[in-house]
Amino acid sequence: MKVIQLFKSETQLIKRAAKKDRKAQRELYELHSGKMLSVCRQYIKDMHHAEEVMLNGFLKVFTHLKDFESKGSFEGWIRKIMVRESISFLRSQKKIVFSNEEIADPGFTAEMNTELNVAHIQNLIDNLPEGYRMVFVMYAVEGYKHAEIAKMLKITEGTSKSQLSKARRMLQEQLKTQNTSDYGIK
Amino acid sequence: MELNKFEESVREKMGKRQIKPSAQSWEKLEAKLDAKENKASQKSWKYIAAAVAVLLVAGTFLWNPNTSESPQIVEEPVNEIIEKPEVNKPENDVQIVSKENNQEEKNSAEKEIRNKAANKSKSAILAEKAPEAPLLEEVEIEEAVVLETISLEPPVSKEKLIQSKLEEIIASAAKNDEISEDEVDILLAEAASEISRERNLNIYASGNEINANALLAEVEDEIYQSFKAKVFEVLKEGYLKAKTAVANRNY
Repeated sequence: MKVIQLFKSETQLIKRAAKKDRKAQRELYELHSGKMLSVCRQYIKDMHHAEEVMLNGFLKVFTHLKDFESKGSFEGWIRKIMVRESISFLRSQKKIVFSNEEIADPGFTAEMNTELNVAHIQNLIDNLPEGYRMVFVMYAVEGYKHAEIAKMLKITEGTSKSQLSKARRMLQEQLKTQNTSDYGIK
Repeated sequence: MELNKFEESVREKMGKRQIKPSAQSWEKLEAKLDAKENKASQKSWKYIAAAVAVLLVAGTFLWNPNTSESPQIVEEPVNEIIEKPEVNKPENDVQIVSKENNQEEKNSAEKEIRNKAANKSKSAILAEKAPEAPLLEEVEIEEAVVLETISLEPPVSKEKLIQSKLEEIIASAAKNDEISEDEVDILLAEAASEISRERNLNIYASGNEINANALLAEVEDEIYQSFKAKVFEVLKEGYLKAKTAVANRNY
């Protein structure tokens, strides 16, 4: 019941917002801005830039609300817009390098503390080079397939796969050193 | 394997995470929205202004003072029609009717049918105009009317020749059983063109003065008309472009 009501009220809000109703737009913004800023922040280290990208994303959302034909979830739709906006921001910064550099396999052994808190995870992701980070977040968090990632980033599927495996190795390396240092502290 | 577990927890935690935007973030977004909407509306105003300008220009062409020469303009299509070969001699419908009435008294044969037909022809300019009645009797009557109206056209001396022609017509009419509305329309158009042709002949023949200046003016007017048409075409294109642009301004 509650879910239906919520859904109903959201479609109502979307309808009103499409007609440039500022109140409805604001409500939608309040509902989704937190999550969307989180999405942008995954890709963009700098918080101010991430917020700017998120705002530009919402600008696109509100000016193209007519194109959202209630197919699929609204959140999924705006999320996609945020991801695209983040990618194009990084591209404009010309920071993206899809490195071919080989990373040594850390040779996984010790039990890894997977119960990390969010800030910790963000820190790990932040430490990845842009190219690795984008592919990793798109694949692991957003659930995109390699074909989709390749299309969005204008790279080949092979590059997408190799970037992901390199990102994984790097994360493993980080986790390993963190684990050992944690042991050291404890 | 371990990594997948790690990725799962990343997905779960990052998916749930929310980061509160800064306090003035909505105001910023609102400013952006305002700017965008203003820009869009300014754009659309530009297009509307352009469309109005186009309409004004079109208006000046429309209300240009050549209205006094409009009779000449009307002549154009008529001339075209006349160029087509015509079988019948120029006759006026009214004449047909009146002559028919005269003839009524003279002819003794077919008297009954004629009386009926005459009544009909008085009410309508061309009696054939009510042909769709399905009854055989009425069809017969109408055929008779055709016979009469056409037989009256030429002078009495040519009656025999016309009579044979009439027989042909009757034969063809009998084949069709009914006179279609199209045929009626064609006959009406022929009659109209003949009337106007006669009038034209009168104008040129009786007036006898073909003014060189008038001819020149006529030709110039024709050129002007075609130019006008071209200008309208261009304006139409421009207007459509502006229209689509206005319609698409939000994309």
